[in-house]
Amino acid sequence: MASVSLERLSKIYDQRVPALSELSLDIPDGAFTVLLGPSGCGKSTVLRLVAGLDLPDSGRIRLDLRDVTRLPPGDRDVAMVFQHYALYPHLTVRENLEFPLRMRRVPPIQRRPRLLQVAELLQLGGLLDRLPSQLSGGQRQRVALGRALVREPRAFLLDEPLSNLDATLRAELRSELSRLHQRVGTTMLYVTHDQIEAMTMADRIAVLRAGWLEQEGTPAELYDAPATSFVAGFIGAPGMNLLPAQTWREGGVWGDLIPAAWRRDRADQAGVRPEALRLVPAGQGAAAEVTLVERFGADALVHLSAGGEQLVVRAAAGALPSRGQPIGVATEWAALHWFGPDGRRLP
Amino acid sequence: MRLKRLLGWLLAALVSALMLAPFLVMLSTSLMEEFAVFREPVPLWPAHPQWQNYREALTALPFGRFFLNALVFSGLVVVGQVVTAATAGYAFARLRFPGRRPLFAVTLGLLMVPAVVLLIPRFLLIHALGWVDSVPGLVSTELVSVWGIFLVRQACQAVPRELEDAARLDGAGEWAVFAEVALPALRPALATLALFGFIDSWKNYLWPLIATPSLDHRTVEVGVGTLHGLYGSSWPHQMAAAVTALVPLLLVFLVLQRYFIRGIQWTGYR
Ligand SMILES: Nc1ncnc2c1ncn2[C@@H]1O[C@H](COP(=O)(O)OP(=O)(O)OP(=O)(O)O)[C@@H](O)[C@H]1O
Ligand SMILES: [Mg+2]
Repeated sequence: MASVSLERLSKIYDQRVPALSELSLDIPDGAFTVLLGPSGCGKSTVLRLVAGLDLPDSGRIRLDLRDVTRLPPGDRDVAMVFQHYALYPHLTVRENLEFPLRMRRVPPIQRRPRLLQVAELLQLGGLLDRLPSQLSGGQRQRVALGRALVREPRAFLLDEPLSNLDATLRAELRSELSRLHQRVGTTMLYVTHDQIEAMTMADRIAVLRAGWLEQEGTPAELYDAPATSFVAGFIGAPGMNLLPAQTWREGGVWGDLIPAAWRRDRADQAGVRPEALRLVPAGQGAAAEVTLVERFGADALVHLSAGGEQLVVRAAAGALPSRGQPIGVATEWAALHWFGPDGRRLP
Repeated sequence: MRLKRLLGWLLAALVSALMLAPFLVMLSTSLMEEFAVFREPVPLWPAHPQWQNYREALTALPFGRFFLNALVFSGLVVVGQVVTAATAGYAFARLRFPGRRPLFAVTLGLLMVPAVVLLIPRFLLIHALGWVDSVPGLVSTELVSVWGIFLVRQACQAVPRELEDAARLDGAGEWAVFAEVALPALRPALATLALFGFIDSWKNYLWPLIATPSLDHRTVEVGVGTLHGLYGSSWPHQMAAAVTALVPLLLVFLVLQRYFIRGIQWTGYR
């Protein structure tokens, strides 16, 4: 096991826009760190650099304290699980699992116990003699994990390993992966664009945007104190409501929601989470109109509109308003987040 | 809709008949009496098939030896072409080296040079090496197939890169990545290449004719041609030899049909 440290990593493909700009990130030994961000933000690039499949244009990668920036992939002792599994199609499950050991010249007698151990851990026992084409998506995913586990690497890299699975299976494997991490305790760097995966599994989350690191911290830190308005809007399901300053500075509806006494001078945007908003009877709070009600059983999302802005409120499933109904909305001073003109959180 | 299907079938049947006709004529001629060929009208099928034509034709010259030679020739050519195409095609598809693009362009450009043009230079080459009338002389200039390189390169591009990346992370060196991961994925392409290589060299006439002046290293096709020189007047005997020379090709084709079709699909060329 090892800590992974990235120091000012930059990567430009084909002399175009940078895929990665001066990314610095420390991943503690044994931590489950998630790289989160929209498509094309450079998540896979980070993994490929750490794995050694691509070389950075500048910057340094360390495993523990050792500089591995220019080391070939096979010498880094990290394992990767690919989005499309990348199982060797002509080899059986057993041969797939043995492949990393065989390549590292582990003698056959020592391969067997390792293989059986992994097969048991991932419940692959009955599948050992099948070819990858004879497996279901979830089984293939487990074999891919097994192949990464079997050589006991110092760190795991996982590139959207669940994105090809249906919702039920994804939820199942999500908890399975968390349990697996608790059992083996290996450092994991997990890439996803799904913020629910990130929030549920991560010890720490790093949010990337267009090759830049937006924020790094625990899920709670990102949720409670997003460093930028981008993180605020990205984390949470749905993300934070963001109201531009001009909508409340002139008074009007949003001026009622955010009274003058609460306002921060340099703020460009005010943010409030859907769960920090309260629906109140029409005539109280800020006056808005219900445009949509999404019920989820235990609670519901109520979409409001007023003065050309949209707002989402999470409400208990009880007495829900109906579409088109006028209603009031209110919040507290302490629930508000303030972001400056550069999108950064005001201290 | 059904009428269209029917017309399609009819057309296919017609074309097949046109293609098959010469072979049937060959077969029937091979069983005729020597001068029955010149009778008017020529019978479609001989009343008394002359099976001994085959024995006579095949013993007039050392055909056993010719078959063996052809087998050795085609076999070595197939092995050579598979090895060179697999390595070169993979290199062009996957490895980064200086001059890769221009080199590939030149290689492809060779497809446009008619083989006949290269006949004399090739002969001069093996002559200079003292290899005329020997197996190395016969085989050495046939070991690389440009079409095969192109085929393998195309096939490589259909292999997901993730697979090779995974192997690198699993500790495979570049050679192991090629041999253990890429090569198995290229098997269908290589089978296709082997099939075409075999057919091409089996029915190759000009080159073996020039490269092997004596009877010792002649192949079947050349043998059939030689028979024509010796027994120019007897068509049935020549046809008997020609039919026999065709049998291995038919067998190979029947067994490996699907690879034949795949080769055309992959490269759009043949
Ligand atoms: N081999 C490559 N050649 C050229 N550009 C590339 C290459 N790989 C990635 N890029 C570019 O670099 C940027 C980052 O790509 P990357 O694959 O890291 O994104 P990602 O965050 O993994 O996205 P996704 O969620 O879609 O997988 C993208 O703009 C992409 O187009
Ligand atoms: Mg990606």
